[in-house]
Amino acid sequence: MSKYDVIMDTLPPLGDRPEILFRQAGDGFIQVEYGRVQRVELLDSFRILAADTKIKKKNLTGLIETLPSLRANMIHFDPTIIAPQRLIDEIKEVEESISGVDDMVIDSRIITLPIAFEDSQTKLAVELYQKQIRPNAPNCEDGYNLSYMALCNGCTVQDIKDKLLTTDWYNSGCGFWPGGGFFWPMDPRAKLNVPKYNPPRIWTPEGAVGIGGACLFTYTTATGGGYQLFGRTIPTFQFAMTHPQFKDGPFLYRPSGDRIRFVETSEDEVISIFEHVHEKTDYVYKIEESRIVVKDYLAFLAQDDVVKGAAEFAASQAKGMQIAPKL
Amino acid sequence: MEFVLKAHMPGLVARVVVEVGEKVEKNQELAVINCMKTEMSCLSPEAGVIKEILVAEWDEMDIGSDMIILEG
Amino acid sequence: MIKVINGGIEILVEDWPGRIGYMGLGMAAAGAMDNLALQLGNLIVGNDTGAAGLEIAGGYCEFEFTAAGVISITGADMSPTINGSNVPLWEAIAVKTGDKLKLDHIGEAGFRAYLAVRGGIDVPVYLGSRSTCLFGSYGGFEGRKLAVGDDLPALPSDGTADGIAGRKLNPKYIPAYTNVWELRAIPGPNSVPDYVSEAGMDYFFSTTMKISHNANRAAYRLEEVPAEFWARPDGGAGGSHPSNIVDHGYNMRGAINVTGNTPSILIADGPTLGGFVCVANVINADLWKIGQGIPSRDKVTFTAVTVADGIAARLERQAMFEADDLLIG
Repeated sequence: MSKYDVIMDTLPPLGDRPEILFRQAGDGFIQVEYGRVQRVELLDSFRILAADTKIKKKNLTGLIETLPSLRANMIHFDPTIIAPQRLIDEIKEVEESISGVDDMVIDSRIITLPIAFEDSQTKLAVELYQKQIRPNAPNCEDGYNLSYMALCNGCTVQDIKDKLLTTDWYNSGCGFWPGGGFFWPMDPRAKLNVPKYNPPRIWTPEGAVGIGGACLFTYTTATGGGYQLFGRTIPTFQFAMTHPQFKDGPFLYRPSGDRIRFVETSEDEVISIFEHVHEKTDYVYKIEESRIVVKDYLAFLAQDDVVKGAAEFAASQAKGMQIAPKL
Repeated sequence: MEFVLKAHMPGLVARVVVEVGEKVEKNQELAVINCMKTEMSCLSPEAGVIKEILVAEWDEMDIGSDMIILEG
Repeated sequence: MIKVINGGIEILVEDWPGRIGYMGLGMAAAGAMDNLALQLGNLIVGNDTGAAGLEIAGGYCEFEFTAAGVISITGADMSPTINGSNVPLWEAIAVKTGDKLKLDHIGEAGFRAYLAVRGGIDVPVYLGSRSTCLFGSYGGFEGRKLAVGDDLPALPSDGTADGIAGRKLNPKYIPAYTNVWELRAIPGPNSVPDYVSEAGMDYFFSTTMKISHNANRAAYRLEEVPAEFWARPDGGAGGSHPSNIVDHGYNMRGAINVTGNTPSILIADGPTLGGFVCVANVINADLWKIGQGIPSRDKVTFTAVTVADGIAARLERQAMFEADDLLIG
């Protein structure tokens, strides 16, 4: 026992449920952590989301909000209204009710986002970076990031674009910047991996689509950032809340669980949609209410062609990372 | 008459933007202090000529630290 | 009601508890850095504790009242004057149209002063709060710090202002300001034995750390911890440094977040999620002290307390706000 012990309670592993740890995180926060080992596994996120939905349905007085991420959920509460142990017991009850993946069906919308590769605005961001921050940055050699991304992944620029377009991207949780989701590829054959800018950019245009590590981000407003850039998509956030899609809040994405799917289009089309979102406020977003049936997803992951394709891509990535210059 | 530009905020000197012998106006920016990740202009209290610069880049300032001596 | 003549260092509209409920969407709570001074200031002028007021960091500013009203000045003592005459802190003051309020530099202790106006500052409510998130440029007055010429209205207040001027905070409740701020903190969620060593936590809870010049409303950066701080060689799947972790939600406000070997207290406008460990959390009742720490000058120390201690401190604070002898006159 140490006086710095933080684990308030646990649930032992059971079937495909990892051990669940309840970590103290202040007098108004408890972190629910899934498993003890750091890992990037969408299955953990699915379980967190399944539990999170059920926790919220309990309408617990004193529960302020939850902050789900890839392998943990941060619970924010008022301890003068609900005692920490009472909250833990409620969450445990929820976890016990989810016996395994067979029970997991996640509400998950599919949002289709047009993207223009290598558009003039993200090109400008790269140009400014080279001028102001890091001349001769190896990730910006030909004035853009796609060649570097191809080099890192041992494939062609066309492969990079194809992979972005073929997989759905799953939001494990929003953060870093208002309304910004962190998206992971559902198809392991499209699991790109690239180092982040070093040092980061000071400007990225609204709508930029970038990737850092294996995680994709759509820039909700103009800001700094360190992800390698593909191009530009349409608005995914609107501070002013004038467009009907944003009438209840400035966010397009839910806190977690949404999937996005990119379709290639021209820069003119993206710019026109920006106008129809922010000025004319008549753009109709393509959003499909849908669900992820986790059992079916696992069957997809186990398909021979998927397993083989993922292994092949991982091997070419390993080669690429050896020759790609570090940032 | 001699007068001194004093730091108005604690922080680090980001840069001095004038040189000894330079003629400056009242409220002209003489130096910049970095505090709260923001650059704060240090403005000349009077018109005059820069006589001596007492600080260099990255020097740590407290409120009232002497920065630049001017001759009015 | 109040017009800015000189915008000083950083003047913001803030309320309390800020913009609550949007962490999962990447929006920090923002809110007053010293919530105690703002809440007391509001009570003095007869407002609800959480009404929006002005947060004045660093001082050096001047205002002109464009309407008569009642104000209070709380927090750090910046030697306030009205029309050149000294005015007291922690007291309701009647002002008339044309009066000029001036605040000087920060003094020996404390970094932020609060100006509460009877009725509260009237800016649009954005997602449930009038607070400015400076980091994200939204909320408050046009999402920015105030500048020369900005004129802020006050909301109408219930009842009469008669008898409010002259009302003051019982001196025994005036918070003690210092240059070494003792922050009670609860270890976690990342602590011994898996992330930080026992010796590392001992170091953290026994070392007086200077506040960096880079401290702002998003993070109060402190001095580096030694390499022995860590219990592990790297961050596993989270990254190469032991401070790395697979992205997780931050226990914001009050998280002690360590990036590389540098700890920062995440506060107000800080990030809600990221890939670095959080080793402790400053208890809710002590958050106000962080906002009074002077960047590049003051120091902080952390005292380890339990969750029960943190809850008891919250109840004590609630009781103070409800105390019969809180206000005099």
